[in-house]
Amino acid sequence: MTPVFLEVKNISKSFASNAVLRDICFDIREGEVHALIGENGAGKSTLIKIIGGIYQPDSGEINIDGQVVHCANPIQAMERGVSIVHQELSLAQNLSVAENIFMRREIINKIGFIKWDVIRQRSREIFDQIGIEINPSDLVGTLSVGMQQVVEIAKAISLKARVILMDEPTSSLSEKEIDRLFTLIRELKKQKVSIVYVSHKISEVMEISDRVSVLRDGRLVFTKDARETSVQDIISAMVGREINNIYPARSKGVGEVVLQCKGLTRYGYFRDIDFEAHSGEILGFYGLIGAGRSEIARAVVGADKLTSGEIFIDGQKTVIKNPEEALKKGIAYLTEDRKQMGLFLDFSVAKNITSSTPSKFTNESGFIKSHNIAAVAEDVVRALTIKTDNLDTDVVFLSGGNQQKVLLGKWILPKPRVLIVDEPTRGVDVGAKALIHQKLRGLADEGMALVVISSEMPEIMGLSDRLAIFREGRLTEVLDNSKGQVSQNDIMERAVK
Amino acid sequence: MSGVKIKSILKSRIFLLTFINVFIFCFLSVAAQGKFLSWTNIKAIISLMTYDLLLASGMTFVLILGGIDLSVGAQVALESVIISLMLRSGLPLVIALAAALAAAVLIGFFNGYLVNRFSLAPFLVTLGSQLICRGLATVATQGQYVSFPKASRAFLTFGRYEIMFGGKYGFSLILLISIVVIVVFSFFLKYWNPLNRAFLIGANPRAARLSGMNVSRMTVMAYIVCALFALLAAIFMTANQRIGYANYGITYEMNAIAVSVVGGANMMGGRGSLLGTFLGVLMLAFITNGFIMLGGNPNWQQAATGFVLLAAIAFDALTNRKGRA
Repeated sequence: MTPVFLEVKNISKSFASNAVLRDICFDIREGEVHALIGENGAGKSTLIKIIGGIYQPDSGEINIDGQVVHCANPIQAMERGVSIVHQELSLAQNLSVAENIFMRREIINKIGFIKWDVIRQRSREIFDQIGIEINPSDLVGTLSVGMQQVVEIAKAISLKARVILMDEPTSSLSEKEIDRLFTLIRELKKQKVSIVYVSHKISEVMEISDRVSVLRDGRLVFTKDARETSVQDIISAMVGREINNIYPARSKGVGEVVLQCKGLTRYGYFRDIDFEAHSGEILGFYGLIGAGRSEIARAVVGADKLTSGEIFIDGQKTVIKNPEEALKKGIAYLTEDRKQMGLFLDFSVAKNITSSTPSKFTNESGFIKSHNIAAVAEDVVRALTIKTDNLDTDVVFLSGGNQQKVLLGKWILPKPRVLIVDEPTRGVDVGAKALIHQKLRGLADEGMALVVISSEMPEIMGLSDRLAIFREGRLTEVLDNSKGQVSQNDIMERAVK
Repeated sequence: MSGVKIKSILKSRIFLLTFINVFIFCFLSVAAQGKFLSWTNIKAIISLMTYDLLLASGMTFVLILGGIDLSVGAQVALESVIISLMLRSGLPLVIALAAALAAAVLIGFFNGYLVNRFSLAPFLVTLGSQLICRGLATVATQGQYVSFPKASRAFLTFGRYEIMFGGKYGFSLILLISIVVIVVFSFFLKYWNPLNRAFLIGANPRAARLSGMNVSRMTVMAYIVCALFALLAAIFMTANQRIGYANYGITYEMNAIAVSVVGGANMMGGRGSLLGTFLGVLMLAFITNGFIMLGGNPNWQQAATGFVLLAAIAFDALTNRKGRA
């Protein structure tokens, strides 16, 4: 059996009170391709970052060649042969390939001037070594994403990396580029370089990996030889959790189609999306990162431009040019990024709550009636049990859960006919979570058509009457969940295959 | 945990500015031995404030929206040149004013449109329009003063008219009008929702857009409003000085920015106070006057403005840090 190069022993990591990794034991053998699979939030990226020196573990240790090592930063990790190729490539776009590869390690002559010709020559040698042709003088920004990735890998090789950790390497690659990457990986294997391949694309992983490790909720479920496991095994391992949370009951009665979308396409983000939202119903949108759900929602409300597609409200075709129009036509969108795009952090709870509904606190000529603002805000705060010292507190001082409630209250006020909520309980504590879920079901019962976008499987399963599953910008399938009949497996299969 | 709010920081700043103004006033009354407290002197102080006040008010509005307008000084020059050239060639006053109005709206729209439509940096767009305006004014006048002796008497009298209070104290009419305009504007800014939205839009334009606000329209509007304030300043200055001049208003935009920031605005948008701006203009006017009264060099005003600006930013930084635990 090939020797173990790097070993992770009992690594745990928490961010604030959030335990992201629990007691992980993991090892990397020389010259192997070891896949790390898990859903969003399973802890894959965090584990990679700890191995690569970007984060420090709370407990546990890392051994290289049997010796305990502490990498306080990525540079130390790189010196010990650990390199990361990030999902968002970390190259300087307006510098050349050679400059990027030798960044910080420029070869200089006695007076300190950089020997560019030597650098270029060395770069060419690396590319020869891996069998790919790239001109070292080309600007990185002019290369395709696939080629840029190769440059990152070349950089790792020049650092004499013994393991290259690749985070979602194929998320932006074309078929051809994926082939090329796999050829490169096989070449690296021959040269005794190990690859840790983080991905949620199971079929790809099975094609290229020697071993597969599955993470779920911060724990390692298993590490198996790729030949001794199946796609189904892996899917079950990814999702096999008990659902303990209690969710509100299902829909009382599904009504008419309020919103119908046909063939929605936005070049580069999503294609041919068809769905219907009925009054009285919660339609769930599930998908892994990059599936395009938020982009679809944004396009529906006119925040982004559609390349093509049609939107119908109550059967009538409409064109929505901006969020103002969407709101007037009864469609509201609660953004997933509440801090940057949802809330006005330095403004009061009252001002935030009323920010989409001026009609509720102005008279016909547009003058503000401040006691109306207070009254309206007061109602919302009470209805959603928002914990705040008073209505004038700046929203930035509220906890995540309460901030989310403020946003929810804001978007309920205009009484939209369609409410699209994006990750409604992200970063929200358990108590507030339950209340938000109840509120969402309550809104559906009052006749609203709800679309809930979520990456949290228990949540989407608990809330949805119907479940739309997205993958890489396409709608895979819409499942009926009116009797809670959809299983985690059902969902995950359609989200990853 | 109760939060230190933007409002209370601003209130404390206004309190501070008022306090400083009162302090300087008292100090100078005592130190300058009666020279300061004469009505002639006070009148001189506040009259000079007129143009700074107008430009700074417009600037405050643009800053609240997260923008900046470096072209206001040059706009004053260009519009004064337009008015004076037209009056000199015998055109009626109404036409001259209408032409200046058209120019103001055009420039404001130009600034706002470029900033909004192409997401260009306001600093650079308005720097460009500043140079264009200044350039046009210079070309049109060859850098010479433009007088208009044939113009209507009414216009010339208007420029220097004083309303008499208690028989003895004359108060410049154009200052009075300016103050009324600013007070009315600040009333609308505070109580009229379409304008009050500017604070939200400036603080977080993306959230504002998603909330259904028309960010594009507000952006263009802001630059037009700023241009209209500059127009008023141009009309008043031309009437008062009785000449049009391509070099009016040089560095006025810098003062306007400085004073707005002293008054509570900042470059990131979402904050600002017209009252604070007013107090800032007043404070600097007192300081300049103080130098004159005490025999110092009035040229200290520029440096004084700089010091006060830095003090204001430092004050901002310190109070913000306290506010966010």
